[in-house]
Amino acid sequence: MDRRIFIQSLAAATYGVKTLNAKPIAETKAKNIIFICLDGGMSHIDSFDPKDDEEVKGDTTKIPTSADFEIGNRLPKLAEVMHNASVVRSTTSKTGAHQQAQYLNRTSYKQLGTITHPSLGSWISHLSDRGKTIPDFVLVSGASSHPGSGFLPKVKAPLPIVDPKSGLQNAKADNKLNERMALLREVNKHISSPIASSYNQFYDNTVEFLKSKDLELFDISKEPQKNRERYGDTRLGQGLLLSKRLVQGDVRFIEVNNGGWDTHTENFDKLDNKLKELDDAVSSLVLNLEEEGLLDSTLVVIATEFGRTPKINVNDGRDHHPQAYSTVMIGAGVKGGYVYGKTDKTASKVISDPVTISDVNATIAHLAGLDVSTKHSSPSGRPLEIADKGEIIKDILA
Amino acid sequence: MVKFGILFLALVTSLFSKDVNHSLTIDEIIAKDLTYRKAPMPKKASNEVFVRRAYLDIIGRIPTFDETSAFLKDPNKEKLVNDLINSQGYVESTFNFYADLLRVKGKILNNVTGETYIAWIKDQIKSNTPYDQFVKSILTAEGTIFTNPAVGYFLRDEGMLLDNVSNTFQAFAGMNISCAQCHDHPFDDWTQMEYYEMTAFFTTVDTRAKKEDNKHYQDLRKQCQELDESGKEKGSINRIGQFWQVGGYRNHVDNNLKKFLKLPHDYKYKDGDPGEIVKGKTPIGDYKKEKRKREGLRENFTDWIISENHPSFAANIVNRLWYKAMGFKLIENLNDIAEFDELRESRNDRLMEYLIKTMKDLKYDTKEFNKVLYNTKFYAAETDGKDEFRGPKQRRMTSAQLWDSVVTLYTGDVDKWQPKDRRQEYVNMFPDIKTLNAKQALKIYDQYQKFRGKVYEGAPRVGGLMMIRSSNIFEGRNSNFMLEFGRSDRELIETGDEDANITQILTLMNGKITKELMNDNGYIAKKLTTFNRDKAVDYIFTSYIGRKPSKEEKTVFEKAEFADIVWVLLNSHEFKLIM
Repeated sequence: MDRRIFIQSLAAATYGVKTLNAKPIAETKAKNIIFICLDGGMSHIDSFDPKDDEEVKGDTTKIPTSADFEIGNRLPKLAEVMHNASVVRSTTSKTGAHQQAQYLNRTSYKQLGTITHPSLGSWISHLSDRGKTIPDFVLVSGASSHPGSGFLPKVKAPLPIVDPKSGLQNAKADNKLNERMALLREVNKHISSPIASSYNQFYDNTVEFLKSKDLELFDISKEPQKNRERYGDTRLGQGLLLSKRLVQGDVRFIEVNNGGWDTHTENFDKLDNKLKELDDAVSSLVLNLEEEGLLDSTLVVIATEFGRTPKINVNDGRDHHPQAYSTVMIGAGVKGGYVYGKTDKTASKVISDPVTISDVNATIAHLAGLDVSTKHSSPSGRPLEIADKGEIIKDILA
Repeated sequence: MVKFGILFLALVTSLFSKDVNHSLTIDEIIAKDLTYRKAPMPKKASNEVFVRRAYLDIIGRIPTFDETSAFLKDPNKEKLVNDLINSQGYVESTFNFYADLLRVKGKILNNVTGETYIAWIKDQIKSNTPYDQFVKSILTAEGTIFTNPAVGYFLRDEGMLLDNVSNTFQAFAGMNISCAQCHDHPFDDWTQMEYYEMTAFFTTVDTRAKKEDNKHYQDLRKQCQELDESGKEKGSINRIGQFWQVGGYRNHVDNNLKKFLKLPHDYKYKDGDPGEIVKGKTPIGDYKKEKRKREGLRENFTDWIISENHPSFAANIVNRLWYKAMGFKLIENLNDIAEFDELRESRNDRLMEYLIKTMKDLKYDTKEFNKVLYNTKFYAAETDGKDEFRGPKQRRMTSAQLWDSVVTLYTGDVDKWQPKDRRQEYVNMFPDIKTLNAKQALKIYDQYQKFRGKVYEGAPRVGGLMMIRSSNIFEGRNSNFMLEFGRSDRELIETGDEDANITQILTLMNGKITKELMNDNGYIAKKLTTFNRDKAVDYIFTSYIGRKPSKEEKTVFEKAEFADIVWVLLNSHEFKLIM
């Protein structure tokens, strides 16, 4: 059985769930999206928005890139692929707390106590009817606090990959599977009800899946040694290598979470590691996608909770700074070698073209072929748009 | 053979009881409705099926082999229901019900433990506090999380008063008025003004520290700063900040009569101006109004919501308890059962009416009310796979039932380990902050750090998993299994579900817990060493799915190993479905 039928029947077998208003989507620029969320808040000053001001720069210096702008010296490999990237230096937000910022990042909405909004991946999954229903949304290294499908049906929740190295959890087929399945059918055969038959179907499909080649999609050990090395033997590196495989398998939206960016102390020492992890992983991903001819149809986004204070604190750290930070979009549908928006001399505030994370998400949704102005309805009848009232950042579109 | 349907009618119409038998009346009402609709009558379920279901629905786990055998030997249903409702398992399983309703978390706030609040809720269930009084304690609570744990309900939503009120309406009145938080409700009669008038009853709730405490805390901070700078005790500032929070000093619930609620800056209706002060007023049911002296505002509100004339207070809890027992809802959306002051249509209005009356007659004694439900013939009927009101709906176990059943299979007694009630210890640990200097406070903080880690002392662990009741597991790594099977994250009211997905199937097939049950360390595996093959297979079948294998199954399983049988039964319909 091919993957298509597998997931299709999985969807069909999930009872109590209706997919509403799914319609074929228009021609899309970004067939596949890799959405990287750096949790904790990446320092914009030490990465994509370096400054000369002695007070704020710390030991970060500027280096030239393959485009006509400069980035921080801890990102030498990413510098070489900047001709494919749009760097948005004017992201701004009012949310300086982690949990709320993570929620905002994924849903475009402020976190409330009365509703859970769907994350972007779930919206894309919900609103795209691609005619081929392989998993639409995979979440790599996600936290359990992830908003998931929010108020949308649970079937639109992401398929979670806890550890990219071990792939899909509990998916190792046992050599006794057939024997046990035969016994299971014997025990189950006298139970007939709608719920029982949907479980029968689920089990049959799962068994097929465990024996199929589809499983290899989730297995990064199948990658050539060269790839496994160049992405870096890090959580993010292996996560992005897995994401690349999933793009090859045409998974629509892959969200990769990566923590460790909350550099209140020893900002620069920590960034030596974290930015190297990012540099190795994302640059290799971009090059690898290019080699495979997938960069034209794949959008890679680097998003984070907020920026970090220009002022370096007593512990050599930087604190939360939602007023200004950077978001990077690479590949399908966006201009290459482009900088959008500007912060002041100390990277404290945005001085031109401010955008919110809702605008960023609206842009992604737009590139994914969704109409961001359409009003949708929550189960209680609350009208809302995919990315709140986010506006597409038209200027960065290719 | 006599059809159960005829027997059913005969039974329910007989008049052998002198007392009011609510269960009988309920069956009568249902039977009448089915007759009228010319629908088939419920069919009586077998005793094997009944006992397993009653354990699952009432105490949240499957029965053990011994428990099943004991019931089959003496199948007295009323006694079983009674025993179960009076057991610890009832407390634990009912706690899950309230935890989903009240959105109870292990950590109430970032640095405030939910431990005492959780223990308090369990206490209320155990002592069977009437439900209306339970709600009253929560809505009128004052104090710290240690001196009066009931404040947990307000602390949980610290800084989000409007959301808290919206959740209060959903949880206790089954009314969804959250739309009116920002504008007049688009398809209900609620106006934004009315929303604010209701919220006004709660404006005196103050969750921030008292002035004098705060002043003392600032002093402590100064002392700590000196300690930090002198290099004597590094990290003091950080620790005192933690102390301030974990000790329940920063956040507690107080009445502040000087706090007022104002209309939002973008208020756009003619009945008020932006920034105008709003006074408490109830638009439906008994009319209550804020008095000149602003004392007792929350008491006023609570008296209103629990009053005889409130349109949906009783209906709300009735609808939820019915759903918990029967697996289907009388009024479809648990959190939205009323339209302004009228109940929405139910699947059997006469029944709904009778249940509400029963709840009120029983004075919100929920144990008694549950007995009424679980003693109906309707509950004892075969499950209804098609949702035709012919018996409890066939459904998958909830994530908690599944987990607690698995732990039962592994340990034999899921309630053996109980967390220690440490409420008094917390009270003793954190005295009035004004009596402490920095060194003392820091010392207490260090003590607390050790104390905190001992919550799960003595809990059985297997392969890194804590084999304890779902009701003692909160957010975090140990809840992963349950989250996978649809446990509510307790951010919103009752968001758990029993939908299936691929990761669940993979977990049941190959997951850690499956492997642990298949190896030879579990309680059943140990038990089996003394049995012959035939008896052993009977034992495993009964333990997992509540019945012995058929002759045919015995033949099929002739050569199967222990691990195979466990795998098959754990994955079977009869295991995960409540039949």
